[in-house]
Amino acid sequence: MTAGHARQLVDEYLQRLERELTDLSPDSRNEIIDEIRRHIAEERGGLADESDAALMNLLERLGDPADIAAEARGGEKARTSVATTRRFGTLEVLALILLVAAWPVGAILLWVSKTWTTREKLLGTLIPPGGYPGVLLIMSTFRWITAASEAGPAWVDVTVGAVLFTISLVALITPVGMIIYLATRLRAR
Amino acid sequence: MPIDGLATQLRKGVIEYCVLAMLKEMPRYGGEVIQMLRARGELVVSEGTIYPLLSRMRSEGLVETEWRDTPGGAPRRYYRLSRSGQKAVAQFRDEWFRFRDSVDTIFRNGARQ
Repeated sequence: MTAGHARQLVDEYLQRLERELTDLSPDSRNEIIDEIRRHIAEERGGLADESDAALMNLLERLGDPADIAAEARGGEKARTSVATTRRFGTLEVLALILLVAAWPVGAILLWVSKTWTTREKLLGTLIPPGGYPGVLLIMSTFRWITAASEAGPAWVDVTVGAVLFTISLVALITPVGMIIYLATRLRAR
Repeated sequence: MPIDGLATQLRKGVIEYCVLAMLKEMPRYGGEVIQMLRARGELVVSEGTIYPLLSRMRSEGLVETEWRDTPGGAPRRYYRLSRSGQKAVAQFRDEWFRFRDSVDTIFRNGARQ
């Protein structure tokens, strides 16, 4: 057999394999194709006489690219099904609503749900601590701080007022921001 | 179950553990695993399926890999059993011997009882 024909047989085989593996992640696809290519090169090196038949036997022993792809997908399918069980349902929607409306209940649901990671749950619980009830509690102390600062010079009064105003603004936006963040983490899955 | 599908089903269940068991003594590369399987009979029909299998076992943490140079040839990817791979082999071994004994007992004595 001519070297050109041999290359054509191998190329056709690898092209078919590549087509069969298109729905795989690029990493897995490249790894499998690379290994099969190496395998063919090594086996060809070991052939005493590279006849058409010898090369075709080699490729036949490797098997139908569709079978190789099916084996590869066997694992990936299992992994996607694990990911699907992490999708969100009523529990997650309820957790997000109650995280704003009724903080302790929302936080408990957040931890009950298996959808968020521990890191996301910690962020959701602590930023801000206590949700809106927590924010309002903290803001209720501002009255005394303002009252105390009024006794001092005018610039202290103004500065304290500005700082408290900024904190209030951030504190009121944060819970909503956190809900949006947690919701996007749901959609990311 | 059609009887020709039976061999395929049986192979599917054990091939992963056979490959893991082959890596127990020493790290091996894919082609070596395939040669060993070939020498041990009818375990694999499509030899190429060993590569996605090895790749999957790596992503599952059952094996680890390293490239090694070969004298006069291209480097090869060697597969080595990880700790969880060793555990899986041991578990399968126990399970398999129990299973095999039960089936053997039934086929040897089943008809007489």
